[in-house]
Amino acid sequence: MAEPKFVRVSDDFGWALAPDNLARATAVMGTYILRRLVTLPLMLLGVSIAVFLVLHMIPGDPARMAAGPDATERDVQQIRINYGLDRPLTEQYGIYLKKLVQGDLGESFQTLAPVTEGIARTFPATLELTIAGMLIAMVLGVPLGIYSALHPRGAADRLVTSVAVLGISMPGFFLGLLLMLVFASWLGWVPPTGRGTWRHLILPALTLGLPYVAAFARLTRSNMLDVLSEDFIRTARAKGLSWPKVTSRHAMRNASIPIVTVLGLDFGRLLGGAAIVETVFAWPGMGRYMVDAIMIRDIYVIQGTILVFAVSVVAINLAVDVIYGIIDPRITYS
Amino acid sequence: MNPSFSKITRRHSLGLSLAVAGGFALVPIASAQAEFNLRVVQGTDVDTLDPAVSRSTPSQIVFNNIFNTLVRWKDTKLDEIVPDLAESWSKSEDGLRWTFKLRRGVKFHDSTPFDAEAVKFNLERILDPTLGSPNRSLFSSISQVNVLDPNTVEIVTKEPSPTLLEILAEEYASINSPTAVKKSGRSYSRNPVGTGPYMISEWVPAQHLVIKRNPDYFGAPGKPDRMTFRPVPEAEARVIELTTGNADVALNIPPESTDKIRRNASTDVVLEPSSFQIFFELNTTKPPFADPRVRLAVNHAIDRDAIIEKILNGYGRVPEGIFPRGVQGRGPRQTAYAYDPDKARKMIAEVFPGGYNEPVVIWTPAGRYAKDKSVAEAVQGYLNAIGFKTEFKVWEWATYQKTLYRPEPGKGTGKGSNDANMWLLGTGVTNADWRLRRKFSSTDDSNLTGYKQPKVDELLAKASVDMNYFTRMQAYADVQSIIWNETPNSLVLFDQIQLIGVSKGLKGLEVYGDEIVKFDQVTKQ
Repeated sequence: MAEPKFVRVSDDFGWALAPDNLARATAVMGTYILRRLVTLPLMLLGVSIAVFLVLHMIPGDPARMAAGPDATERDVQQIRINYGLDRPLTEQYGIYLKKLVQGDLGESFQTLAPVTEGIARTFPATLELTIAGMLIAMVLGVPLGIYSALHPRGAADRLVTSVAVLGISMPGFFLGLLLMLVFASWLGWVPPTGRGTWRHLILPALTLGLPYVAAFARLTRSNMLDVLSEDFIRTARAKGLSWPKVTSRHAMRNASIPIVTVLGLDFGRLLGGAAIVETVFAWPGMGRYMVDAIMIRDIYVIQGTILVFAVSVVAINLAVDVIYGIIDPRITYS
Repeated sequence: MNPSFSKITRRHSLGLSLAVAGGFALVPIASAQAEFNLRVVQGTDVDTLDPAVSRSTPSQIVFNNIFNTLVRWKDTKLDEIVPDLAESWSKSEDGLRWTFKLRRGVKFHDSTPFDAEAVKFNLERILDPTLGSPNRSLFSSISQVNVLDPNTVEIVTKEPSPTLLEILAEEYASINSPTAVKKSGRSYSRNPVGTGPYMISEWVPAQHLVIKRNPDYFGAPGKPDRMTFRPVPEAEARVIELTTGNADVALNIPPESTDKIRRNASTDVVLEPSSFQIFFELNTTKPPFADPRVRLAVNHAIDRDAIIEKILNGYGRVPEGIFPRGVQGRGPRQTAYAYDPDKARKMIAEVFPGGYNEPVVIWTPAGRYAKDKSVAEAVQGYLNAIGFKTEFKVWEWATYQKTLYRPEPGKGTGKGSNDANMWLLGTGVTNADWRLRRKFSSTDDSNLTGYKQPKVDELLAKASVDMNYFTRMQAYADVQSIIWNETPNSLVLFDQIQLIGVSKGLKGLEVYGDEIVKFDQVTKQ
């Protein structure tokens, strides 16, 4: 992610929103996005080589795992031949790359089903869970942060700090089981596991999002406090704007840049963190798909899912860069 | 109504729109009293629904509902084979030709008639190396399958094959509809078509699999109208599914959760014997375990009661032979190895008068078998107590498998050639021949300990061509006795107990030792 270059010079964005400036900004942004998109395939090539090498260097024999612990050596050898695992590494990678270009990610050793199909099935579930978790973190975290910035060292402030410590130190599977025990087992409000209705989504999304609530609140708080001490806030107040207007229009907008940055970074982390939550709640997502594949060295599944994760993270970072421009048109990329 | 790929993606891409996602709740609760939907949660997902290539227990549980085999075991005792799709069979004098008379008028779920051609098609399919079935070698004795007439099929074997019927009774010998296999190609694994009491209704991998009763089944019709299988990997979550009434059966319950299930007014725990035995294999190719006396000695060094009580919450059995209950051909009960560290010390001193001063290398996986690492640590303690120096290493399962089964140039897999003296493994194989041959025949690829006992080799070789079931089982019993009393290849630890959580009033589960459960005759009050 490019470091945004910007200077706070004005108490208003009026100049930046002038038509010719806006057009110039959009054009610069367009070229930037284009440049990023061009480098994407190169980056993916790098990722695919790295993943391929790592998978072949870590111990564990995919053919034996596919055959099962009771299989004879002959069966294992046959599976090696069927999947081309007996060929030289470079040749294997060549075949893989050729298929990849055609949109074929290979087949799972375990289920014999195409990896693209597994990803198409699991990725939407993970995305749904991650977005829901993110929304929870934001919807709870940002207002809490603003509130505690406006009332420093108050009750909300202390709550945020203690929740932050708890959220960071509690492992996801523990929080998940705890929530399940209380809300599914004791209270019976929601189903314990699975995916289907919106009620199934609540617990996994909370488990994923809660640890980030406090983090977002603290981040919002410290940035708000910084901005609130700026000159332009005083100017805005001096020209007679009400506090709510100053906070929402001037302070929040300036404070949101670092929040968006962290949001982008955390989104990738949430995608990865989803694996544990998906296992606890039997959520049919891509994280679980990948972790299960790693356990049995299901090479093509691991490769495919890592590539999709990589593309997602790149896409999110790109989106974050675009959002910078929307929030603060003074930001340019060179 | 088979799930097609396009349907799955379309539905899931809409998943973000919660209202739409809400539209496909599994089965409406309102109709629960009208129809009996048996809901089962298990630890792992069905991997594939093509019986020929699968080896996973969750899949095989489903296969038993969708498919039939030519013959099957009468019940969980595994001592009598009875007709299924074959009505009767006979074998030639030399034991090389088997003739099966097939049941008439049976149709697959897609209306394809079941006949001799279908049997030929299925057996030749599993024998085809390009299918890559991990079960192929079990069928390797078959040289030819001939259609004599539409209702008679002849199987010719290369050598007399006494285990043929047993293999034909396994889930991977299920008879699939040839029409469906040809039509679906690679995607057959998601669209299975058999002759069984149930047929596939919907499968969303990692989410749920629904089967519904086949109204035209030739045998005893299934009792539940539907069955829904869901993978719930986290054991504690399975318990909550059961106790909240969201599931009727929860498989693989951890010992520490049994009290919780029993305390719940509407749930209970079913205890069943398991064919799984957990043991340390001992490297018989190098000291200290090259000498069978030392192998016997360490078996007396372990307090199994304490391990079972303290580590397994009491849910395990002290082994009385290398075959637990639920294994075919289990010989007479042997005397359990008594916990006697003094005796163990004395026996070892006979072999190593000055003591054995090299470290004993102990390997264990973590998280593969019930409490494997904790049990291994306890064993290390017991071995230290009788004067062994020990080195301990914990492995990740895939790496462990690869290391143990590492191929050696010109030798197949390594026979005792790895760096360890003992390594923890378990087996639940219920077939007597397979269970013994893999571990005790000196030439088998799975014989990791390098075990070589001429008498055992001779008995196993004789049994492998013995067409008389009774004398063959007698040979296996003799082998079990020799191994237990004279020359073990392992330090046996415990026999597992299967723990299954059920809602009260559920009756008719047929539980096999290898964790296969038949649900088709289950009723609920």
